[in-house]
Amino acid sequence: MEKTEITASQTTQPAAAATTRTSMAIVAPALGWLIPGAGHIIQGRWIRGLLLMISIGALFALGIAMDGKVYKANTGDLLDILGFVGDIGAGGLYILSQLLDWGRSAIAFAVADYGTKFIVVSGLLNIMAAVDAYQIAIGRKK
Amino acid sequence: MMLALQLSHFGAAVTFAFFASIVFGITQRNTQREMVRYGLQCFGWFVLGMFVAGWMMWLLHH
Repeated sequence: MEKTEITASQTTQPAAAATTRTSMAIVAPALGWLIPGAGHIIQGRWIRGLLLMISIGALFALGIAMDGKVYKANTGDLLDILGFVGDIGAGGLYILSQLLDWGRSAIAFAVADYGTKFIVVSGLLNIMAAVDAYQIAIGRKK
Repeated sequence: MMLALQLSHFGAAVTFAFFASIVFGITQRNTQREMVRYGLQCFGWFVLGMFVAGWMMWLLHH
């Protein structure tokens, strides 16, 4: 009888942990995508989260400051579509740029081309950060 | 109209390498020590690659 009780409590704890892990596995990458680094911060990885936030945010901000192009949803040229896919990876920063009408619709000079790449890469790096937050949530990474 | 930030080619590439290396370091390694090491390694490779690409372009041009 006693043995049965121990077994029941042992099975309850992992079940609760699994539920928490499952919800965190959805919340952390989603929040990390929306706000760069936030997926790490809600899991207690403050330094990593802040460093990701600063790095991704700085790349995006510098891209905008360099008059980089922000791609909009399109069905035109393949490179434009890929540019949009990269940009949307920046999540909240991309949404903010659309709301506040940041960035150019066309590249005017060489430095602006760098800016465009900065914006696209910040989005791609944010996707990497969101995936990393997911890996932490499922316990595959510390 | 606001003036666009004017970085040199070198400045833009180093800035890019710096921030990208931080993200690579954090996301691609597990321990803090490995993260710092890999981040520095990535930055070094970025800068080295930049010089190699620069000299290659110079050689192709001349």
